[in-house]
Amino acid sequence: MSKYLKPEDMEGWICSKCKLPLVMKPAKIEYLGNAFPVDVPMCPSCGQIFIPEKLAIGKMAEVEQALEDK
Amino acid sequence: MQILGERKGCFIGNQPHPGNLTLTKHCLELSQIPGRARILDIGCGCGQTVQFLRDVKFKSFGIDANLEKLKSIIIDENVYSMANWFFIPTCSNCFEAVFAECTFSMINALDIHLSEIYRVLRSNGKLVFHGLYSRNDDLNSWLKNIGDDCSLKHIRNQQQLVTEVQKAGFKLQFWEDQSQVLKNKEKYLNNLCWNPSLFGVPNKINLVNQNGSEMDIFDYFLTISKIKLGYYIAIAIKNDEVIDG
Repeated sequence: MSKYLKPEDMEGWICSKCKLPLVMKPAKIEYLGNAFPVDVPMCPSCGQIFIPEKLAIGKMAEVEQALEDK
Repeated sequence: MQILGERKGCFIGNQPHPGNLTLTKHCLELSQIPGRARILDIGCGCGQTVQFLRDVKFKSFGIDANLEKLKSIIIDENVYSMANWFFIPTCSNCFEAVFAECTFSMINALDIHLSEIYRVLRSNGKLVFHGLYSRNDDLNSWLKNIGDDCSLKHIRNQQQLVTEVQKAGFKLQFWEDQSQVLKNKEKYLNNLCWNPSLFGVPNKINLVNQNGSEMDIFDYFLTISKIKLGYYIAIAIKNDEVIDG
């Protein structure tokens, strides 16, 4: 498990469409033309990605800010 | 003995520098190197610059430590040689100009490399160099986060580069920011930052830095962002008075 997400962050989350528990899978996150690979919770069936609030307003926001400052 | 890139995974050299020949031509115009001058291209890769300089009637030569790259071109042993940064296989005072394209950011012991360039240049010879640099004055606090194998480990800011060049006995004649050449170069920058094993570990997701503390992908991306990558071109002249005087 990556440091930015802990197992408890994923507990109880299921895909509303497929009704399956989310699993950690690699996704390419792109912002302002910069892409990087990140393991994120994802539906194993439809591939829908879930970004937990803690990540969205935490490290992800920090990186966004740094990129916008460039 | 260290090889050209000072590490095994010297992948930057496998792709052209971001400005391509357009930037090389721009540098050539600015440098006003006399026609038919002898020019050495250090880190010549597949010989694109060397060939261009020959096409415009310069006596150009290339060295590169990467045997695979030199194998990909038709080797003319009178033009190309295998050599590393620190031991240029030529006599002293031999060239009117040296080109160093996108190489300095990969060299840790830049002072030794510059002293070797100084040796092979004739009096008042030109050093034409360009490459990646950091636009962050407080660079070192961020560099410590990245692994020794990262292509950005030895990147410097303008002040650091100018100081090193001057210490080696050169007088800086020209400096220009050319960071626009990095626009639309996502693949180049992605390779630069995220190519497997560049941080010294094969897995990009669970990264561990040199100090043993865990850093995740966001920490590294934040670091790369804070380095504020830019691109410069510069010209310096061999200043005999500084060394000999």
